[in-house]
Amino acid sequence: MKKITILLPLHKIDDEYSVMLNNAVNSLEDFHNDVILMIICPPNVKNSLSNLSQKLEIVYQVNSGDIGFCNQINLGISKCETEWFSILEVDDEFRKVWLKSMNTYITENPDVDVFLPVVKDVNVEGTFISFTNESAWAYGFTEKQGFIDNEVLLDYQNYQTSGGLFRTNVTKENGMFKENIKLTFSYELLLRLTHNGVKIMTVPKIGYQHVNFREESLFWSYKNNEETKLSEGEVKFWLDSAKKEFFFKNKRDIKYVES
Amino acid sequence: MSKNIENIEKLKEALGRLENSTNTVYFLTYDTKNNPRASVKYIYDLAFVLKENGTNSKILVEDSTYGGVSHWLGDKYKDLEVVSIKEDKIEIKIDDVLVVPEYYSNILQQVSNIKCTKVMLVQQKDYIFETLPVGSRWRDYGFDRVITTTESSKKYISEIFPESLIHIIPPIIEDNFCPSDKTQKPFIAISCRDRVVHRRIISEFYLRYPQLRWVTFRDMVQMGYEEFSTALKECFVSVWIDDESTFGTFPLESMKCGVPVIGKIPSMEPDWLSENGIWTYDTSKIVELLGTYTLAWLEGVELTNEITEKMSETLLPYSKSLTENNILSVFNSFRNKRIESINNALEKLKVEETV
Repeated sequence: MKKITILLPLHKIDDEYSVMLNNAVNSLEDFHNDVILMIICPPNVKNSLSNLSQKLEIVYQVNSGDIGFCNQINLGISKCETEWFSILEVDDEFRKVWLKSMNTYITENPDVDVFLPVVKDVNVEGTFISFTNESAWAYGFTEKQGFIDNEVLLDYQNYQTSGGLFRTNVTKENGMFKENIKLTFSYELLLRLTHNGVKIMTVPKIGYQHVNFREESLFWSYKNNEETKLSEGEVKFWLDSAKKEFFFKNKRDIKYVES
Repeated sequence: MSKNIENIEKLKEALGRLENSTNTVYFLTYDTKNNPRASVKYIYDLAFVLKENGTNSKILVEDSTYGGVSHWLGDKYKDLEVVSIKEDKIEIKIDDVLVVPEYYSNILQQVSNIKCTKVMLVQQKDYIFETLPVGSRWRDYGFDRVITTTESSKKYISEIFPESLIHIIPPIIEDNFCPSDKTQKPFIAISCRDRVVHRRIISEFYLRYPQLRWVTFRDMVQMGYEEFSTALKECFVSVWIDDESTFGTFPLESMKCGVPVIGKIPSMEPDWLSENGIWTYDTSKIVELLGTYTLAWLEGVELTNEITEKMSETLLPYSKSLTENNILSVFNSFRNKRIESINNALEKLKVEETV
């Protein structure tokens, strides 16, 4: 029985997205014996998708509601029946070592519920920019090398949840993404999990490649889109909010008001 | 009683001790002041193997301030008797064996009158001439046998001291060096004799590969033996730079742990050198090799079977049982030779007595 569901949220499909989607799906093909790909998308997108892979088991979760990233992922998690799930963004890809390294670490660390890979951040041309999640292994950075704890998270925010392997029931128990938190929803989730005693560690292998600031991506729009751009004050507000909201399992009403 | 009869009696007693294995093998050892030293562990291993197999072996030290090795080697050697030259006033007999490391060449004159079997122990050929009086030979002091650790070292010694009988006993690579049952961590084990080189390698690595600043270097010095092996097996690669090395224990320990070695080939190439690691003659290439290997490891690239097999093959001649047999065989040959020479002397004395 397959034990991992890969959640791939897709809010639209066009020529550019088709290329990205094929690339993302291809990166999973070597894992076909172990993973189910769940594509969460609106009905019109689902109708445009076919023959994505000969090898992979693909299920579709039609989303007729809000197609924001967090809503799509939360819907996927709520429908997930496997022991573990991971998130694959449409413009990203898994690296070949991901499954093998995750499996090894799952076996060796049965008390750990979240495994983050070292993420290779690249630009749209594929040029290396930096690694993410790797700092957990830096000597003296965290209390226990390889692990990310709440104390460290309060000082360092730059962790990437896409590509991470989450134990499904633990994530459901602790609450999922809070879609009303802009920018720092991943950070808030990690803070909440660690606050609740969930062990998170980084697998020291480059398991996931993330395209940084692709034009029109969510984080690009926070920085560059005139309509959705966040001011410095708002960035600070969402960071501070994450640090306050992680005490609560479910989302609360929060709204940024420009002072 | 005539002098001859007295000597015959003494020789018979010596012969009896040799035949009953109640003679003593002394290993002259220096005090590391609690600092781990592979060269001293090697001496203790020789003594330990002999003792375990019924030979009376003792560690011979200068005085009672000797600190021992339990601090960094644990309790394994606690039953080996330690005797001091100054306080214990030991009497080394004709049937005994005295093993003197090369760095104690300054005492050769003092022991020249002792008539036991005398053996030079050469682990570091560069130390041979440090204190040996200019122009003198070991044989001048009664040392006609040598134990060394490698074929190349034997070759070198035989060119300088062709009259010596040279035996090779490699160090024991203990079984606590074994692959970890856990996955390797982003740690690099580093062992450089020269601390300046050590610092340069680490600094250069972090400057050339700033994206790898989170990868930890583990300085493999000042560690107890158990701690050392535990730390080594966690690493995904080890770096070895030691131009003065004669044997090269660290790379073999690393290979036995399944940790590949990136190393500078020392001026005296180790006997075991082959395609069993990533080797260069150029120290300046080490950082680049290390960076490339680290990035490949992070991507999940695994060592080729060829290198893994070479690593295993390299270790075959250095198995614990082979080396133990080798130690026993070498010291047995000393014993047999001494029995033979005592018998010859006895025959001679008996003939003289009957004439």
